Amino acid sequence: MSSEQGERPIDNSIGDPRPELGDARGEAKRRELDRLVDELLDGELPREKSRAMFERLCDDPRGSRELASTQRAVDALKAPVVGPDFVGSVTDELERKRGFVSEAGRRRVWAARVAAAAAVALVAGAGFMAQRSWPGLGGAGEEAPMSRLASNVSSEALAAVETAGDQVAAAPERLVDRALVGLQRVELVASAGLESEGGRVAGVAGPVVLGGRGTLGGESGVALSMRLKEAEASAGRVSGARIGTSEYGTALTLSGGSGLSRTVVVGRSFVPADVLAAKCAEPGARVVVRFDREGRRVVEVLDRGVAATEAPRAMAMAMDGLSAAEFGGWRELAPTLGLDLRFDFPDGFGPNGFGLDGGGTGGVTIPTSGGFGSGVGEDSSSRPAPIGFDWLERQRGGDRNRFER
Amino acid sequence: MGEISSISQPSAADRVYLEVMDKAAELRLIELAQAGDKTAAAGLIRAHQQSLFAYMLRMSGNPDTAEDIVQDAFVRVLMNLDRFDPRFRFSTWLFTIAKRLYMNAVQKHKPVYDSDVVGGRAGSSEEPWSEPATWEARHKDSDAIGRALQELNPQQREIVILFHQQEWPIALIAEFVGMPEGTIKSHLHRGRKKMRAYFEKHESRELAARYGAEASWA
Repeated sequence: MSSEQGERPIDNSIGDPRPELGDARGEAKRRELDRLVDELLDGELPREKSRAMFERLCDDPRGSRELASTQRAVDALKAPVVGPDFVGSVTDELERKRGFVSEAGRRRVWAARVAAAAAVALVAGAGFMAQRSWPGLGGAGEEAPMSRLASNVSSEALAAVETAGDQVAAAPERLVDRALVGLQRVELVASAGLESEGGRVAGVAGPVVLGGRGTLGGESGVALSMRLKEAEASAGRVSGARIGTSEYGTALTLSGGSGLSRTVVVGRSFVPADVLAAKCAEPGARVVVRFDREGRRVVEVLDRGVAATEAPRAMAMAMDGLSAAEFGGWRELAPTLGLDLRFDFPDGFGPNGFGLDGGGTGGVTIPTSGGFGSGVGEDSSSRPAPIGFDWLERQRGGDRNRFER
Repeated sequence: MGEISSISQPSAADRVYLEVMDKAAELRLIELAQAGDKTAAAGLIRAHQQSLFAYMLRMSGNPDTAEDIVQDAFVRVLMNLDRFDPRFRFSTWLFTIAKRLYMNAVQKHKPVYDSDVVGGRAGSSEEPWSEPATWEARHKDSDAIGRALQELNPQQREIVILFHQQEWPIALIAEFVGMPEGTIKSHLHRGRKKMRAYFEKHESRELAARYGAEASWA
């Protein structure tokens, strides 16, 4: 700013049209001008308002003076500040504390990393070729390694399966992360759409939407085990993931360190109720009925061993559409069926609303009484079937023996 | 710590760095510096030293304090580049570190950053931002704007500096200081009014005539 401006007389008593106290109209004008000036200094004054602001300033010498003072302060703040050169002092200190790596050193590190990556790729490639040449190698058993499955599916499904496998194999220690892996990546596999057709796996068009009652009911034959949290919380670190074919479709089996496993069936074969019953009756099987944070029912069957289970799908279908009161009936029915039935509720979803007297995380656990059992017929015949259980009841009523092991 | 008069002018290389540094180039420099490249580390320093020093100088009102904190901030940041999240701006991270160092210095009142500051408030349990102006007021600002800034409370001062000196957008300032944008604007408006009042009250015609001259902190 020039010295001329600097010599401007600063005399607040001259030409001051500021409103007297009580001059409401003047005060309002004043406030409006202040607001416009603030907008100007904030860089937010619209072009169409700037003219009005300057016209008001012309009628308000004191306002003009204030704006000039403010502008001087702001300009002074923007004046360049010349500081010391910190390069030498900082790099010296870094050199002392950590040291730098020369260009040649960085190249050596880079070369070493490339070599290591190449070696890993070579080993993996050799393993893959060996597996293709001698399928029995490595004791794959009934379940095919993921790579073999992947070679037969669409690129989309391939990517999804590989991603899922990587994620599960590298599942972090923390339970919450493992649960996340289970939820997200398994859904990814399902969304990619795998289909079993005569033992051959092919991609299918259209995503499969998980969760929610309607989805489960509408996607005939698509069995999905959606929650890994409880299994993995018990199992400790997930130790592996394998994909194989099962009687009812393609199955992704995630196994944990302590023997618990979870199989996700992604085939399109319908799972009959007697299979459900058989699976539920296996020793150690446990059915978990719980409600997720959105209040949706989630039905799971946890089993031990690596055998595929399609129970989640069938059980979910059985439970789908039940009212809250019907869950109470289900709970009563469970011991008769020999199920280890457990109800978990997230925060805010207490048992009262569902007619259950257990509740909270952990819920009610009913120990397995050993099998789907011979006692089913007698107990259930004297017990009115809960509304909504007609699907399951039809299966039971049609052939009771089918429930026996 | 040196007199301001001994502070060097930015070199042509500094200016080039400041002008051409874009996000991609900066990320590349960060990667190289993380890998131990000294030249890249120097490039990062050159790109940000002027703005960081200006910010810290205006915050503290003391060039020695500013110099110490800037030096320390650069060392810490460059030692911990692996923690940098490239989704964010490097400058924001750097300023955050520097601000924390400054707050610590103000809070502790140790003569780490200024050998002239002794006693008085040692062991005070006050919040670091509650009244640092008292501490800072012991330092002499040679220029009007420096003195005017010391009239503001620390939050107003920081916001005014970040907006008018560093030219950060309101949204970024809001994120940086953790306040809503409306609150930032209120602080900004009040801060400007206080600065204006200071200028009007204390600046003589001589000072006004001097305004525009080269900044001097001696």
